Amino acid sequence: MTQLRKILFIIFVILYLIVCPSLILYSLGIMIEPGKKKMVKTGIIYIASIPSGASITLNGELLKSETPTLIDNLIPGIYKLKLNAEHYQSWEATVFVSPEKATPLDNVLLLPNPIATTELSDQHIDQLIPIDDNPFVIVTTGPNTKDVFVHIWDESFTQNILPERPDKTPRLKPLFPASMEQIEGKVIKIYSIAASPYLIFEIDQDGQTKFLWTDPLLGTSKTEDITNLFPVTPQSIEWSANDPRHLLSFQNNAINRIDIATKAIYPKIINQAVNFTSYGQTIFFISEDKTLLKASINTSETTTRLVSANPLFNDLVLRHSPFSKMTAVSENSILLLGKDGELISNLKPFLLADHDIQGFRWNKKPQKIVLWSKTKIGFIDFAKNAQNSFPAITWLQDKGKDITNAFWVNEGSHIIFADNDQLFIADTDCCETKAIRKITDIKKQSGIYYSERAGRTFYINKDTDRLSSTDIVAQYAILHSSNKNTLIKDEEK
Amino acid sequence: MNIHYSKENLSSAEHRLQRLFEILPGLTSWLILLGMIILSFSKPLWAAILIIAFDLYWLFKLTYMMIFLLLSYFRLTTEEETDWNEKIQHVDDINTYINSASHPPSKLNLGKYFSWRRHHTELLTLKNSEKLPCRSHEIYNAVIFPVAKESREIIEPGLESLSTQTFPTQRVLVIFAVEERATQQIKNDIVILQEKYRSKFWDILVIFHPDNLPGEARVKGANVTYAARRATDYLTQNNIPVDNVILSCFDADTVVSHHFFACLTYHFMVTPERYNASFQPIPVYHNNIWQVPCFARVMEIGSSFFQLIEATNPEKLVTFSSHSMSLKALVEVDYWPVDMISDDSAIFWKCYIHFNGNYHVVPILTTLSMDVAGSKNWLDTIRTIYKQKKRWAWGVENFPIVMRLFLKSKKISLYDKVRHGFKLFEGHVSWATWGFLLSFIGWIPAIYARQEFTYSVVSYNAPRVIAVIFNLAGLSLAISILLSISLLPKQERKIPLTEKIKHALEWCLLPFILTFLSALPALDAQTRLMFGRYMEFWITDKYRGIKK
Repeated sequence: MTQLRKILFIIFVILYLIVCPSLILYSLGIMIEPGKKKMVKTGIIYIASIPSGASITLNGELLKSETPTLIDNLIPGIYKLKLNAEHYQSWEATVFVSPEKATPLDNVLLLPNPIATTELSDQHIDQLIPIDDNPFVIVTTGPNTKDVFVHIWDESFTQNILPERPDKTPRLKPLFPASMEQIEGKVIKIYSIAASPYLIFEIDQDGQTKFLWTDPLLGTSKTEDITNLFPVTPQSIEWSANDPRHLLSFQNNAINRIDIATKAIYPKIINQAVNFTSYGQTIFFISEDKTLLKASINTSETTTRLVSANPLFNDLVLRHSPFSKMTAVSENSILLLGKDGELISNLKPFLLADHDIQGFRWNKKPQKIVLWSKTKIGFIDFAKNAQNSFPAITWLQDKGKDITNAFWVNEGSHIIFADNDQLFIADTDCCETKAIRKITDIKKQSGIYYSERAGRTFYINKDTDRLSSTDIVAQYAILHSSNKNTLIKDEEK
Repeated sequence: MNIHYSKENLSSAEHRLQRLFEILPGLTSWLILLGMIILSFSKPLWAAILIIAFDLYWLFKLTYMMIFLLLSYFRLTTEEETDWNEKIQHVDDINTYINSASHPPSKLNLGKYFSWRRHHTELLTLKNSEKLPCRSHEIYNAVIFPVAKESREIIEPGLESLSTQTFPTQRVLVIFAVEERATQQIKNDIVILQEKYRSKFWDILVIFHPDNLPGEARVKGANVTYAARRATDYLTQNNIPVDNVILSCFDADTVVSHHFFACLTYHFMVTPERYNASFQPIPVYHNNIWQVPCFARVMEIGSSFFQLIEATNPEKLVTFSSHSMSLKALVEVDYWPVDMISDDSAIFWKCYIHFNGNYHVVPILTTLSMDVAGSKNWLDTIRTIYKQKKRWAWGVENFPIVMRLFLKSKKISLYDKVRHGFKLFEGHVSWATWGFLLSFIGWIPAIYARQEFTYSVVSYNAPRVIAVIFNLAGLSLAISILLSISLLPKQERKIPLTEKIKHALEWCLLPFILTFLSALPALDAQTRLMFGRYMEFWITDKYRGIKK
């Protein structure tokens, strides 16, 4: 046994001394370059697509594996990648592989081929009004209250993989009952909050301003006239998605708190403000001396403090106040849009853009912001640039015609945006050159909406003026068709 | 060499050396663990490389150990049917046996063939050494059972197993070493057992160990030493030479197989350097294996496996738990240390140093069974096992004493000093660190590394490589599961398939067990030693639940 032990020990030591360095070199991506007999540091590409299971062609050579996969032992250099999947448009990109580096392409979105469009209305639609993070869109066919309709969709499992029900259920429902007193009023403004299903309509009825509170998801029966709660027409109204019972209205440089249920008004909880916005129980406001402050609300006291102690930021606020739009993206972060299109944040680099910005949209995780002017659209990735003190804008497009809106898609990996009469999708994660692909034609200046939960874009069809939708990210695209057929049969039963 | 095997009563220079060596294992363990954590955050690339190298080393060591586990298990099973009394006769008639034409069994029956070959080689070696033993009928076996808190229910099965030995029990002396502080009920139970079984043995002695004797700590070693001294006197008074006595020191719950003493006697007789050897059986924990929670079961099977593997390396084997040795050697080294908790391993080192390195352990291929540490419920069982493992890990207290005495010894070769010192040190450090490295620390770079590491080739390849290593290690796990089922108590072999599957699934608890019930108590023990917080002896709870 002792002899055997010694022999085995020596064998294992030798094996270890051979295998261990080889394994470490492999892990580091160091290998012997074929044909040259010298060590080279390789790189890898990790690629995952939606849907998965796409075939991969690398520099014209079809690989055995499908997405998601790791392509390793790549000599540094430029590679042409192509993904193909049945019923999907092919996707191509040029990727630069660096030594000892991984190039993750983990959110490649394959667009359906053809891009299926579903018409959702019989009526001709004038405008689409997106209400963020909600399972419905508001559309109008005219300027009056009676011209406001809602399209609600089901965001449950089956809805995403089954075909539309072949029944006669109307796709659009009038938002307000025909019998409502204010039905002939003219819509002046719609107040909405992301992730809150409630809406407040400011309407003009025979020269009088009225306020209607409604919940589109509960049907036409749930509409309430809350005009009495606004003795003076407010400049803005906000509420928390988690607390729809309490409204914050801003008028005459003061913020009032309103309890809808009890109809109680708590006047001037904050005074001497020139702008405000809110997030949860936190109010951000610009005081008359042009300082950005925040306050926590509870019923008994309101305490205020500076949003940021950074003098650079506070100087920006001072110079660019008042702001046309204030958006709080968390209890500690805020975005301010100035009158000349300058975009300021308390996140570095503070002055995100110095002019012409018309709109922006925040993505929570990872922290990113898309911002656009009429002709340019770009984004800032705060998470990726965490090491960088001053993350810069990555411009996707600088030759646009009339960019009006943009939405984050697939957890911040892509952006859908409307430019003039076309809908595009841009990849923000992949490659040095960001690919932009056209999705479809849309009605000019009519509004778009993208629902992340449904993976679906809503727009007004350019040719038919009808509300339409198209699936961008199939939520359950990895399901095999056999499973889908089973579910269809169950549904039919 | 007359040695003072203790950490007490040292000169100031010796005390400093003692403290240095006490700090070393714990410090090394903590440096390894904390160093890897810090490295994972500060230099994740280096950490990933070290982790790959370590995991591969662990895989190789596991595979290496598995080979010897299988070999050892094979040997154990082949010797199960051995007629040890017959082999003893061969030793008594060694010349006749060797000179006669003996035909080996067919090589088709590998087990029997190797068993014959081993026996034949042993006899030849004995004959050539010219150190023949006395006749087998002159050999006595003395067994010490230390008792402190154990009830009759725990002790009696062991005594019963002694009374049914194939070795003539009329040459077995049983000694109950009872702590004076034991309850009256326990003392009464022992006396009842003495009366009941006395006629089956040569004699049963009940020796009460007084409390607080000068120079003694409240440790098992003090109790058994006290009893062994009196037993030696008793044997001498009865004209039984100590040279002819094999002394076994058991735990109170030890139950032996029916051929244990025959096997032990054979190995004593066939070992030329029998007075420079201890004899170590394979401990298993079958007494109450089905009455304890699953993690306790897996834990103790792992301990048995470890001893099976150690049995294949007698050059580095150290006595553990219940063991045997010649009374002559024990008397010469002045018995077990009376101020150390780990008396089982300490006696080996004491003998090794006393005999200037001319001392070794002979593995004997038979099992003896003890209780799995358990209690009334899961939480108490976890506590009990944790404390027991900490006590076992307290064997690290031997390291400073051994190293100090190695430095003093001029007769033990440097090679042996380095070999044994390193094994002792490495064994304890790896015990305290491997569980953490494998279960948690190894994954830190992948989870918490900074972005620059996240986009490196290593961050993608390293987890894949480590996953492959762990999958390959799964093969060892599968072998362990199969062996553990085979090692189950024979009388309970007919267990339904569902029970076997459930038992196999219990091994999924291995990461938890390795870390919290093995590595953590070892780290605890080493840390205590590092800070000079010496442990009080705590007797393991023995629990026999209601059998389902």
